[in-house]
Amino acid sequence: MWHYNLELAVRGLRRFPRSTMLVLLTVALGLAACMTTLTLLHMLSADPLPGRSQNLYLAWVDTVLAKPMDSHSAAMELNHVTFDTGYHRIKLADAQALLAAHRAVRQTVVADMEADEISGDGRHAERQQLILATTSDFIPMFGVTLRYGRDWTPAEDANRTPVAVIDTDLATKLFGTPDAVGRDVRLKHTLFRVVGVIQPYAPQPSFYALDHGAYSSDGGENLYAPYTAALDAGLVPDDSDACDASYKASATQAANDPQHCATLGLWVQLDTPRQVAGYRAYLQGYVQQQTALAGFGKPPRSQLTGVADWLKQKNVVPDRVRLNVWLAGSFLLLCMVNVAGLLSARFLRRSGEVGIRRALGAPRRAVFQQHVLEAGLVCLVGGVLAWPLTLLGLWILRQQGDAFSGLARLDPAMFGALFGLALLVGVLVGLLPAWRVAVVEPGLQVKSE
Amino acid sequence: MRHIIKPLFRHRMMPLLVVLQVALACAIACNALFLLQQKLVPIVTPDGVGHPARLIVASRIVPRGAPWSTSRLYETEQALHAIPGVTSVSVAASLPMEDNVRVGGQVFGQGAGTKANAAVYIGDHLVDTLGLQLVAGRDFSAAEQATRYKNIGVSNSGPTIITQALARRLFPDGHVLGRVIRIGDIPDAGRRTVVGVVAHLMRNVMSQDDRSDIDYSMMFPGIPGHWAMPSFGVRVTHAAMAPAVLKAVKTTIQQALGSDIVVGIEPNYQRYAELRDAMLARPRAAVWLLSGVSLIVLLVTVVGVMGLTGYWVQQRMRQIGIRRALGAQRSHILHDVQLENLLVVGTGILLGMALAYAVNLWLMHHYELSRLPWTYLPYGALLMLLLGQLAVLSPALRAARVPPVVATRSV
Repeated sequence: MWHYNLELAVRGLRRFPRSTMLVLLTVALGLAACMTTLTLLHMLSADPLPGRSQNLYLAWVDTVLAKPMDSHSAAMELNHVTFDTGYHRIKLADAQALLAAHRAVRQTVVADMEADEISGDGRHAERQQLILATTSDFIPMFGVTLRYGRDWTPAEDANRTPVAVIDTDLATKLFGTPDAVGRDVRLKHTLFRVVGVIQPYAPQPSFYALDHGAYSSDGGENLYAPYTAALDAGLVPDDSDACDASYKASATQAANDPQHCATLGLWVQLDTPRQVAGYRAYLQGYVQQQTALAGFGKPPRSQLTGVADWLKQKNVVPDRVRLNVWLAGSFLLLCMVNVAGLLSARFLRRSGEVGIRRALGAPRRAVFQQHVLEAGLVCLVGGVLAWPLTLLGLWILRQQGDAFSGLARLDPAMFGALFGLALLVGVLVGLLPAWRVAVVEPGLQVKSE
Repeated sequence: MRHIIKPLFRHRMMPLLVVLQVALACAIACNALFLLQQKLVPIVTPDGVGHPARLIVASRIVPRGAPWSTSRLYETEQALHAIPGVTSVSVAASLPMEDNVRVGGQVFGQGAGTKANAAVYIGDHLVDTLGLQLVAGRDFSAAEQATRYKNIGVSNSGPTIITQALARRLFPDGHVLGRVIRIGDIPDAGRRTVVGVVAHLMRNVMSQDDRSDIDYSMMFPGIPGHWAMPSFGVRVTHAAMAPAVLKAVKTTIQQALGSDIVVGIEPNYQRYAELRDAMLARPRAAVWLLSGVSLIVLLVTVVGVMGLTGYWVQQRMRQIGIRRALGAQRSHILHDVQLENLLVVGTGILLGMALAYAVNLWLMHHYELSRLPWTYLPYGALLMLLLGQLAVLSPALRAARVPPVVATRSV
């Protein structure tokens, strides 16, 4: 029966080639528009670290010795600088105290810094590279894969030892070989000994360093070093949330001195809800003990934010991407209504045929099945046609020049989703016309013939 | 009329599908065109900058440590001015089309009870360097240009030059020169007296939703004090000299400030025309995308209506034949089909308008979009009606060609 119905459906498709082409094209356009935007959204809203991110939290205490910044006051607004602050960074002393307390399963500070990376022999140099100043916990905590050598140790953190872990790309560029363990990289005037080489690591979005853009097509940091040693080497964190009020006047050295400015992000790993609650209480307790804060009119504030919440809070997926999904989705809906109409016309044109089939004893179910099958087939073929169109759409997206547009590529999951969607659309679209033709009264049709 | 409406109710599916299609197309097209129009605003609004090919912008110059002193910036400005072919140089807190830093906020028209969100450009010789067109009043005097601020200058009092659009907004009565603008609503806010009005000066915020306030800008004279990211504007006599001057500007700034420029952030030297192109690339891409979408939506709708009406007409061949046999003229049949389409599409449009508005409300709520201006609705309706008539033309003509003899034979 299935086979017979399939044959009828294929035959039906070939009956009116012009309207079939029209239906195919409409389906393909709708599907392609929808898949293009969905693919981008899927890429942008993916979990940056599947399996790990749900246990990672950004911890923040507000201990900047300055009046709270009131965004409503005219002075603030008129001095409005577009560097988005509020990345929940903390000052050096707090970072050290919170790290030393070891209240979480793992904890690490992160700060992006920029410097020239020069090979120990001075032969090769990579200018103005992004460096991540962090602690030994970063690599196990964020699931970074070591290729050669080792992670640095907590002791090396504490001793401010200039060691570094670099990725294979940088190793190849500087030393001509990925296995660069034991070589030296000069940052400013300090030689950092390479102890480990990792696979290039750039989770998208790069949730722990959002101030350099949430998405990057060319990877992020390529060198990781103990923050203590990095600060000793005279490297400076790129940005700060705010500085102590007293700091501005004495500004002669670095603009973002971590002693006085909130420049470090503190990430902790907490595995159970109890640990989360405990750490939250601990943070609040910590900030309440900061007596120096008195007189600045600040309530004691602390926050512990999970990765997903953090990405949502920072609006990492741009609104226009979601807006485009809605636009394309409604376009697909329009295409479906259109196709439903075209299919109804085509099916009802064959009412006579159906009448005869029914009169000869074909049950309604068979007629219905045949037509839903035909609709599904049309949409599946439309899905095949939509595939190159989707690739074209993604190519157009990549030309738009957004930082994230380079990520717009069709992965196997989305490829499967395309055909799933095509089939679903086909069946949904076919239901109404198929029902309409299935209720054709056999007697009447044959008589009117 | 009855012979048109009645069959619509007897065979509900076909007209219903047309109504649904038109309604959806209406809702999508209205909102897409609205988004499109917003993306067009920065592209079509004049930025006020004269001869963009003759302006060179140096930006993203970040000091290591404390901001440069005003006198150091002034010396740099002098050095830039000495480059052959340079007519005017400005040191400013920010410049149009440059979005690294922007200054702006609420300003109040004193005595007029009006307020607006405006961009503030603080810098010397801005009118000359940007090539702005002064339409009333005067440029800042030499004494005013020499102002040195302790802070950046926002809370200081002094003279200001504003755009025509901002003047109209703050002082609707038309008297602008000599009026006072209060900067912000804090008690010690700066007060600025308007000495001049320029035709246009676009603010350097691209994502502004409101069409009108993209041209709300004001200028303060003098070099901003204690400002961590100064920009330099350099105007040259001929566009042909720009590449050579650009190089000279680079070396001059490198010589004057290079030793203190932060490592890692590369200063940006560009001709204004290129800067503008780069800044408008994203809205331009969006315009193409949205116009493509709108076009395809309308095309799909026309094709759909055409197909459905074609079938709907074909089904009634016999009736049409009977009517023709009974004496109905070709034009009667034609007009009947057209009128029927008008009714069905009209219903779709009414539904679509409501839907468009609902969608817009929803978008406003979730995506901070502005309200769909109601003027879109009649235009949208007219467009859809025209398209509906266009779509029905070929099936209607086919119906009109049905010979009366069809009535006598079975289909």
